[in-house]
Amino acid sequence: MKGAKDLICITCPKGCHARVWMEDGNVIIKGEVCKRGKEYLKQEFLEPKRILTSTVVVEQSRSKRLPVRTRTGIPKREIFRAMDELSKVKVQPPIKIGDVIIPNFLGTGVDLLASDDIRD
Amino acid sequence: MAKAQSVSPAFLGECDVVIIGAGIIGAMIARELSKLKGKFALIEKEAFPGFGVSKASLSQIHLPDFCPIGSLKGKLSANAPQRFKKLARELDLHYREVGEIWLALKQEHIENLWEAKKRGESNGARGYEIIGPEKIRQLEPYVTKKAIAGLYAKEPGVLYTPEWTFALTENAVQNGVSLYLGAAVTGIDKEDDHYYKVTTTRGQIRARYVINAAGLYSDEIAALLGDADIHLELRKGTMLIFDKSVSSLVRHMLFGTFSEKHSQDIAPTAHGNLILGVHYVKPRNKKDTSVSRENIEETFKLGKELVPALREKDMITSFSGILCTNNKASDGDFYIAPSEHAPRAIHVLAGAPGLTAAPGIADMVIRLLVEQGLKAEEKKVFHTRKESFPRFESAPLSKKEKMIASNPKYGHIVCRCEQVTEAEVINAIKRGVDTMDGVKHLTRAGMGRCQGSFCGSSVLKYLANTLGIPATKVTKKGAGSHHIVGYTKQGGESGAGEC
Amino acid sequence: MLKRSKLDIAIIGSGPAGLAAAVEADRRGVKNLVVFERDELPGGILRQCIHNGFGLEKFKEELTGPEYANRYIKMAESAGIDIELNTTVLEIEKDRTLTSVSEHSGLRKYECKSIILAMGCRERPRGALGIPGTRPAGIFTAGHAQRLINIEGYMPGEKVVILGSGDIGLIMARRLTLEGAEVVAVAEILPYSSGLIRNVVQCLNDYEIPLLLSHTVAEIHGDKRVEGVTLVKVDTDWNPIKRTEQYVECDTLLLSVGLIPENELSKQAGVLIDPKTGGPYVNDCLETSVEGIFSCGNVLHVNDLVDNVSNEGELAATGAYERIKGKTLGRERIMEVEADEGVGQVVPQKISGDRETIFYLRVKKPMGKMVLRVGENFEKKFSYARPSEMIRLKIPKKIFSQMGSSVSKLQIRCEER
Repeated sequence: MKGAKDLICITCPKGCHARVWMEDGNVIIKGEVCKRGKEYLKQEFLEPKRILTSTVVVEQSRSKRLPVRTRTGIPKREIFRAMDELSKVKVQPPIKIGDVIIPNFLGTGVDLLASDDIRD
Repeated sequence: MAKAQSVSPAFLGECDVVIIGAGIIGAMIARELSKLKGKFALIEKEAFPGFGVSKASLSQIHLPDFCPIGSLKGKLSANAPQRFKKLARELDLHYREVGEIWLALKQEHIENLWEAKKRGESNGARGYEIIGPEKIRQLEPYVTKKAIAGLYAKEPGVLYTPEWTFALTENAVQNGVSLYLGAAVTGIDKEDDHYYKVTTTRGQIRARYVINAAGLYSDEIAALLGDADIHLELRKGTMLIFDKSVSSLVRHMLFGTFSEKHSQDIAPTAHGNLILGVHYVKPRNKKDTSVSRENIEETFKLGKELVPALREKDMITSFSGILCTNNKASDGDFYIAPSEHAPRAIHVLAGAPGLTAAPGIADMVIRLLVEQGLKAEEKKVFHTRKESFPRFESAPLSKKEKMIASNPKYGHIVCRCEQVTEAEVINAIKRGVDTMDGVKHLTRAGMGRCQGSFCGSSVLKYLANTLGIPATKVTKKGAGSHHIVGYTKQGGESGAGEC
Repeated sequence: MLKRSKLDIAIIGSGPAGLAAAVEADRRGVKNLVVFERDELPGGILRQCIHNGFGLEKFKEELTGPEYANRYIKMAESAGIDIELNTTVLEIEKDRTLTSVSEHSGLRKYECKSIILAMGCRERPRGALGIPGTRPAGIFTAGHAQRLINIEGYMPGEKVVILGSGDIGLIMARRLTLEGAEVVAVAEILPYSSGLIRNVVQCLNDYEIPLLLSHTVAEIHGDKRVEGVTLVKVDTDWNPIKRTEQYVECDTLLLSVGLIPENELSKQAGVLIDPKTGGPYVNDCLETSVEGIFSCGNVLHVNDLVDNVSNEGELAATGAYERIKGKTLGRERIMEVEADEGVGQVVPQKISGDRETIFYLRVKKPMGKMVLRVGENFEKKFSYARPSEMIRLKIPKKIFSQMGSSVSKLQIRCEER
């Protein structure tokens, strides 16, 4: 059927396989999948999301890079655009873990946070 | 021949003697020559002295029992242990007297031991003892029970060739020798009856006398001088290094059998590891120092036969070196002689035992130079070498305290496996070491169990910061062997060392 | 004469094991303790593990490595725990004398009532693997490359081949790709990836990076810098299959082929090492064969979950605390634990049976439905098991009490059912 995807559920180490497609506006999941898995696969089919973790440049500090993360998943298709945006960022100490480095990153509604402290 | 190299038109200088090749032999010649009045130059095509064949040296000083009676190599190896002990004092270097035992594992090999003893003594060595199984077991508790007899000598020792090559070069430079690294010779032309014009990739040197100590490339240098009949035959030898945790398995240099395919040799190293070799194959070309699975396995078998308790999982690295013999001397002997076509040029074609014979070779080369007309007047002042790289790891606790008191950076350990401190790394860089391999060979940082995976990023930064270059320009062993290719997407170094 | 100080507990390493041990020791009231850290900041390897996935069990959140470390660093700081940074332990002796060195304090000696080993592990380098070929620049272990990228901001290469599809190799495949490198392939000698399915999907499939199972690197090429590698297919015995060689152009080879517990200091002190784990033989308090020296985390055995590493740190701290209080740590009865049929390794290797004990073990080869048996009166069924996934088996005290007091050997074995 059109648009069917073969996906692997990653919510637990079992890694169940399923085929997922759209029919009459509903997401159909074919495979031995548990409830939690079904939720993941539905999202993965409609709009796969990934938490992005990377680093940004730190200036005027002994540290060279600050690890950052999106608070929750952002659309997978935005990942490389996100990396390009991050390459423009420069931060300076003091930075606290959890500080919002970029609010509403790429308009996704998800904040980009500092993942570590940088004191000096 | 190698692809065309770009020559530099720069004029580097004029000298009495130019030595082509800063391996252990070239460096030894340079150092001895620097005791005389005159202008001398030492040129080397690699980024660092000793980065050619000498880098893969077994680093062992032998007695001449391996050498045919009356051979040149035998003559030049006489008294090697004493020469090296003296040099160790003068250069403040490490020489470890471990002794050697040549083992016979079969009845029919016992005769070889007596022949070896005879050869050694005829070549001028003393102190040999034929020993039986009980004494062997006493000296070497882990050696195979099959060892039924041994030829034992106390004097032979081990050192670390790259360290010595650097030290000799440094001492030569200290005493006025001009050093040109990264300078590959592309042409030697007679300028007139008194001078040669030596063209290199770094520039030109005018020299009255030329010493060809170019190791693997000595045939190519010879051809430039008009001696196109000099050819080298190559063998690639694989060696394995074992972790320090098994160093108690072997106390002396142990030898077994020798053939076209191998030299059975397991020994402690100067730093407390074990080195095992040597399995020979034909290399694909002069640059082929690759190691194959088979090379490793065949080499390992050599060691296991002598020391059954040896395990492959204790190996921390393997490497190959290229050994050569020349077609001018018979029986694989050294060929050290004036050129047949070019006046005031001397060829030094010395394969194994090149390290052992190096002091003797240097003496002979100087004698030949004098015969060719070089005026030999000793300098009034010859500087002994500044203190070697003091090693924190091997210093007793009281010395460690003094080192830290003199320089707190001796308190900062950079390489955990070999306990190398920041002070040692920085000192090495300040004294001319400018590659990751150079730091590795001179300070040991990166030579231990983890082979640099922990300290690599620190050494990279120390090189970049101390030399004032971007980290992307730091190399492993010279141009083309950069460690990193750039920066993460953000680009550029933040902080010190902007590019 | 070196100044000598007395310590109740010395902890070597401020990674997730050492920090958890320190926090637990402090919580129990031990104040005279020092954590020795050779790096410039605390956190151990977690500092460079900037990806998420840590702490689901401990904190019910999916944290990045630095975030997980930070939880413990904050706890340690509020407790006022002394973490000596840039300080390397040079030596520990059987009598628990510890010698450390640092730029700021010089050489120091400590007489310790207990020592907790938490040094983590190192990676297997190219030299130890004996990968044939030349010795150019551009060969890195995954951890080395990870530190270069995440802490220093350096790119190790542009075109990368990765050997090893465990989690570290997979994570680095993604990291390199995000930073603009081309990961040409990930080669894995086993017929399956030993990493989490999640990582295969999110690190390889997401970026269409080929995973070549049953492949290894046959040769490295390149004089000054890596120019390419020859990959070859292998059979089930890991022998190369003739005529399956393929040359792959690349400028970087990343090796992710094994972690080795870093026990040099332990061996110096006379601690006996179990060749199956690469770490010390320990009892159910994680005490080693040397009285008063405990071990936890990756230095004890390579772990999969950081949460477990912290649990071990807490257990070791408990053991150290009990020792300081003068308890004899249940030495009245000792049972030797043996990794029997089907079981590759197990920790602890010696137990007293006087408390609930958790065994951590790995099976020798992948199995489907299997049953794990502990001695004669305990068994647990599993639907599958893999060597790369550590099994945690909790045995209640009553199981030990049920065993006859003459039982001195406890065999743990597993078989397919």
